[in-house]
Amino acid sequence: MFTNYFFSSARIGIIAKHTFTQLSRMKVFYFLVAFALLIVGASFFEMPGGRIASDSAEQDLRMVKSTAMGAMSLFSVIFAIAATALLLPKDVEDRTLYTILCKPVPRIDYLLGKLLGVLALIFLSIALMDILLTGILYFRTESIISSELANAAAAGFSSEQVAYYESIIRQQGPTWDLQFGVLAIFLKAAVIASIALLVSSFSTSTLFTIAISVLVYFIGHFTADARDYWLYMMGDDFSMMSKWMSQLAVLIFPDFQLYNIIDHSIEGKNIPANVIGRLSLLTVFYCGIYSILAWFCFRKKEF
Amino acid sequence: MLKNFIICLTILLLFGFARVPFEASLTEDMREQNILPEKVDQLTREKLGQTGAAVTLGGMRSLVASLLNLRAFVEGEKAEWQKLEDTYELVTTLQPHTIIYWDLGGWQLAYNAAANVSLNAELPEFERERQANLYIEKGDAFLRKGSKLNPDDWKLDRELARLWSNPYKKPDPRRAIKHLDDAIDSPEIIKNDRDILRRAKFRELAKQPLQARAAFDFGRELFEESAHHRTPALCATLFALQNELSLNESEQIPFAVLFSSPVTAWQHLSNYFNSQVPQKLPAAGVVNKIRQLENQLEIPRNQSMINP
Amino acid sequence: MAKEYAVEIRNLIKEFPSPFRRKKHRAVDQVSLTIEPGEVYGLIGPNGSGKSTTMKALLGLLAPTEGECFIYGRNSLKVDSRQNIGFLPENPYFYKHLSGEETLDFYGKLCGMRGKMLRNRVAELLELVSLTDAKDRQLGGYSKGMLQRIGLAQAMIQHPKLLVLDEPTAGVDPIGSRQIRDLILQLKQQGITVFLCSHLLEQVQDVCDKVGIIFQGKMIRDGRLDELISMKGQKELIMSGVSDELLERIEKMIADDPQAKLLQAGSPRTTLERLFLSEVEKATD
Repeated sequence: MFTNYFFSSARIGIIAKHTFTQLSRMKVFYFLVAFALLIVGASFFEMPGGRIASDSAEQDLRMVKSTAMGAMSLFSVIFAIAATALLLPKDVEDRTLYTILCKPVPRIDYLLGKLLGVLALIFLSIALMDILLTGILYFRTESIISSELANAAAAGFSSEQVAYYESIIRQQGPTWDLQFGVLAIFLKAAVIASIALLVSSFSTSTLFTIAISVLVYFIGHFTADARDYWLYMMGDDFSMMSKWMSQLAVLIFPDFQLYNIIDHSIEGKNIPANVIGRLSLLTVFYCGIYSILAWFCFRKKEF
Repeated sequence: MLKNFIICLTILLLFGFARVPFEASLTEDMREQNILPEKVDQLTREKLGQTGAAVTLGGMRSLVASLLNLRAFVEGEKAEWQKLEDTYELVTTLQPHTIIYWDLGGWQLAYNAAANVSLNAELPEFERERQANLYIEKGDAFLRKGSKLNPDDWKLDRELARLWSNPYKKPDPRRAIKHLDDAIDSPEIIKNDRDILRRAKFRELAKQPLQARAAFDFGRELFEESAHHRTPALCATLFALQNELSLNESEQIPFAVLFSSPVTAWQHLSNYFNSQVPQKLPAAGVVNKIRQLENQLEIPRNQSMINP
Repeated sequence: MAKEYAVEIRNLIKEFPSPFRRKKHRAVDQVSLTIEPGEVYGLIGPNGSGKSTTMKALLGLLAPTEGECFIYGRNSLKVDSRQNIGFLPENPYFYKHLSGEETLDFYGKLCGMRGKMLRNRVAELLELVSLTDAKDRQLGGYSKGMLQRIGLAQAMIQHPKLLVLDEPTAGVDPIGSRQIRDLILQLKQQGITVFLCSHLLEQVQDVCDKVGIIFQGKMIRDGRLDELISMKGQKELIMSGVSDELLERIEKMIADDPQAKLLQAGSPRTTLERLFLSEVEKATD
């Protein structure tokens, strides 16, 4: 039996696993099929002739990557908001919440379990999509390279030149930096899911939770701009009111622009581990604070 | 209820204060390394329309840019050059650090558009030429903008050099050399490509009569640096420059060193005369030497490769 | 040492803020009750009388405005008090996507049970509530009676000393209802305390030792069932194999006694429920 009545990772794990199963049996994985079709379709796409073969090769690979990452980004945000928003109201409506809270389950364990269940599902879905993307990219890149090598041999390029051009093409194919881009997609979804959890902890309706979460998501893209105004450009052009408002917005709303490294990772350019590390740390803090606030609102909630 | 709200707000604000410096410094670092895209300005948002704008917020600029690129190709096929130009403006605003978009845009404008309007039978002759020149300049401006936004990149500089050294357009060796220098000095270029560009610079110098001495010195430097540089064209050019400058023997590169055999010399000089001289490369003493070699090798006049 | 009650509610008051009127709505007003270990207690009252609210206060689902609730001496607001409770809510749905066995497994794990101990307990409970055959079927396909029974099993998973049942037989057919009541009696035999609330009075009468009548938030009557409903001063005899002659003699004896008076004689009636069940049983055979 448990002796820890405040916080138990085993108990959280049980609820998380259960939430995962509950959500996955909602046929959400059908979306993955749609994704697979979309990206396989995109991979057969060929750009109308560029000047040289490697140009169109680059554009083709770029099309595959941008389609896939765009779809992953969209799916994870929608799912993070919608799935989290329905978890608590569903339990209340079905009265299953009572049966859980009447067991020796602290409310924080319950909330964290729900959140981790959602995150686990998002992670798995993104991972599957990523595997598919990487696979398709790999095959496409290899086929481009082998045809390029044949051309280069015929044109009599030096081995150094050939290696160089090969490395340029590889840079557009599956790289670790692309994976960092995928990770950033997941981190962003994690933050939004925690926000949805917070809102649902005091809201009574799924729709309200979704609406507020979408609003916060939207505002969060401008937080960086507001912060720039605050830190660098506080001239007298702005009224006191707007200064206060923008400061308040910066403090309250998360900064989602930090997660927009997708475009850069599609370039195949390097994303330093330091940046990813800090981004991950920030995400953990966001999720932590929002979870604590969610518990705070939820702990005395009466049913 | 109110008490709860105030406590939550306080915690959020405290957390906000704690994270603002962290986020600000992270943003700064990321912007420095060009990891974060620049802000999309109001004008671009308007051009993209509502859905496009929403998408760029969501971090799907790359996808939108890819699709717009596709649209630009179609516009190019249909010869809708103004639309193409606008589309590439959008694409490069969304993805300013993607070299290939600048490259393609410049190519479409300076080559395809210029060629297309110069063949437009509906326009009078002078108008055709004017518009063609206009598009060449637009292509040039576009490439230069891209180069400025991406200072470490050399490929756009190379494209600019190609544009201004292209004999079928409006060759301008000084402009070409300026861009070649930019490319050669770039930290990202590999040795092989740099050598190719240096040889190209030599050619451009050689095209300018007032730069003959500089051209020769540079060409000699390349010649002595490595066997890779000793292309037929380079050797022939050096030969012509030597004659033009009337160098004394101690400064010249001996003929036997420039060309491995009389036959080789005859072939290379003949090719040089036919293909390079029309592009304004120096020709001093070339014809004479060719005739001399033809005599030496007993090649009948009707088998001569040149027809001056 | 003070006697330890299984359940002790002291002067419980619960008020809910009313959205439109300034005055708060008092759902439970100074309710006190005690349940001794091993008793079956029935809280009865019309809809909206405060039965569910009292129960929820006991379970920690809501906080009392005033007063306290204790379960085996532990305050209801603390999480550890729930180690000893099993709760079956009214009209529960549970998680439709889980099977019967998976449901019990889930709740068992939440209570900290593991491995062989949990597996054995799950099998034991499925047997007890007669759902072993349906254990692999998803709950979405269970009938109402089956859902109540699995709910009961879930409530008992961690061997609680107290079972709290909210309308355990509401909406269940007579057969299922009988099964549930038999189960409750069986549990009582095992020494488990049961606190149930219902508005099906006949059924409460069937199983409870003690009842409390709650009306408009106030406890208006409570005590042992026998004492409350026995008709004082009257006795009942049920006999079989009585000849007419014997009946005459008994009637004469009563007439001879100065204080006794024969109020009614005739054939006792069985209940409709018993008739129904016996007919169904015969039909099944």
